[in-house]
Amino acid sequence: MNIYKYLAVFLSIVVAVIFQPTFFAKLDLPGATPDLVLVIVACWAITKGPAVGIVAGFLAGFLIDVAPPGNHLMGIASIILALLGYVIGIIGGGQSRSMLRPLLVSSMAATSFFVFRTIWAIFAGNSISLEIFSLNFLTQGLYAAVLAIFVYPGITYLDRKLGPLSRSDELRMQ
Amino acid sequence: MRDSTRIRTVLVVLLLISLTFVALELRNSGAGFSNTIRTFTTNLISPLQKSTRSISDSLSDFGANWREIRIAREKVKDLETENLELKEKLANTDEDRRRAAELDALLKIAGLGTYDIVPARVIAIGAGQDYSWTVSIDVGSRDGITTDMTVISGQGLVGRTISVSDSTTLVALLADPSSKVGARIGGKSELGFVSGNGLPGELEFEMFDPLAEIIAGDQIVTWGSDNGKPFVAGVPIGRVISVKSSPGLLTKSAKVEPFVKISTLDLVSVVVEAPRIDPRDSLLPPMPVVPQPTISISPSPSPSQSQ
Repeated sequence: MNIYKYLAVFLSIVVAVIFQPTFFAKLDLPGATPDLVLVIVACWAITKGPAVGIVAGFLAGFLIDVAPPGNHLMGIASIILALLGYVIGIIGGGQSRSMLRPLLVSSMAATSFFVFRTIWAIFAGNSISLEIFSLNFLTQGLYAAVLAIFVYPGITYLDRKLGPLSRSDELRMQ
Repeated sequence: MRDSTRIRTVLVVLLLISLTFVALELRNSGAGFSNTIRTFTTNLISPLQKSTRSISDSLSDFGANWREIRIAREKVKDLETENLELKEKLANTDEDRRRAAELDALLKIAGLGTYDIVPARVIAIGAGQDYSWTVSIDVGSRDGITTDMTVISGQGLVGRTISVSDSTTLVALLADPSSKVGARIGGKSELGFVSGNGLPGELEFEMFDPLAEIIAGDQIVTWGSDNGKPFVAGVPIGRVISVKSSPGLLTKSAKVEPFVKISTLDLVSVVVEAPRIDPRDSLLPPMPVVPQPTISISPSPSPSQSQ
């Protein structure tokens, strides 16, 4: 067990949750706000597989729900993100040299979380027009891919620097 | 194979924990255990967000200046570092000047309407990821804030407070789809309500009287709720940009551009006591043709704001 790596996962998500509303929301980009938290969860799941994906997703979801200025039902986002982390770890996992896969997977993760939140918002009784939905959907996917260009190399670097996570991890990499 | 069963066990355990959270929250509806967790994390994360604000401020200023900086780098490489330093200084003074202007505007609106206000800074902006537009501000129950108070800025109405902790408060903005504000057309007294549709720069104004006259350029102010909660009367909301013709509907609706821009929200104030006399239309910005000193505040002459 490598405690530093779990610490790195934890810290990267906390930093993302802190910067998401203070920095990205202030950028005022057209359409959606870039979802740094989702991209970080996706990148960890891609590099470290489903187990880390689940833990990272759960943690991120929990923080999204309880950290200000969030005002959601506690627990919902952690369910969705833990499942997302698991799925990404299964289908997108394993290290590869190709840069295309993390971009695609991150943008799919961000958009699917966005779609879920739209459904949630509709259930909560908000009326959402198709225009706004499609604009936010497209930009969300685009921004996530752009973010992944920077986030993915950073996370693989952290991963290599901190060594293998556990013995089974070591075996898989060989 | 053993590995994948273990992973699934972890998944199931975490899902069960999450479901417990949901159940707890639904049962207590914001009180008890879930409230304790929320208060705890709010108190933990808000100070961190406050300190990152200055970093993000300078970062976004930098982002706005990025293009200029690149051209400068191509032309004069050796001047680059000095250039950056000067720019940052400039951005800082601009920032100070802007804040001073904003405070002036706030004081003015409070003075005219005789509102009793508590000034605050915006810490974090809920990004509208799930269409809900909220911000957190750095005053709380310690400063006498309670829920359902009107939040204004120098330009006009910002929103209302929806949840309060010790030192921070969550504000639902006008753009939030759940927000509905009773409003009237300034100078015409026609009643209606303004609602958010999840887009930051656009509000919907629906009038009760389908035959009432409304044209683009009309200004909308709050109507005011009972006892000034959640909305005090006479706060400017926005300007009508287009009127929808809706034959067959009982109400007439128009698109309204809010006076307050969400992304540049910084200094706001919470109205802790409503004015005794309804200020009616006296707080609306003067019409553009009249040259008055107040106009120089509302448009943004500083480069840091014009992004």
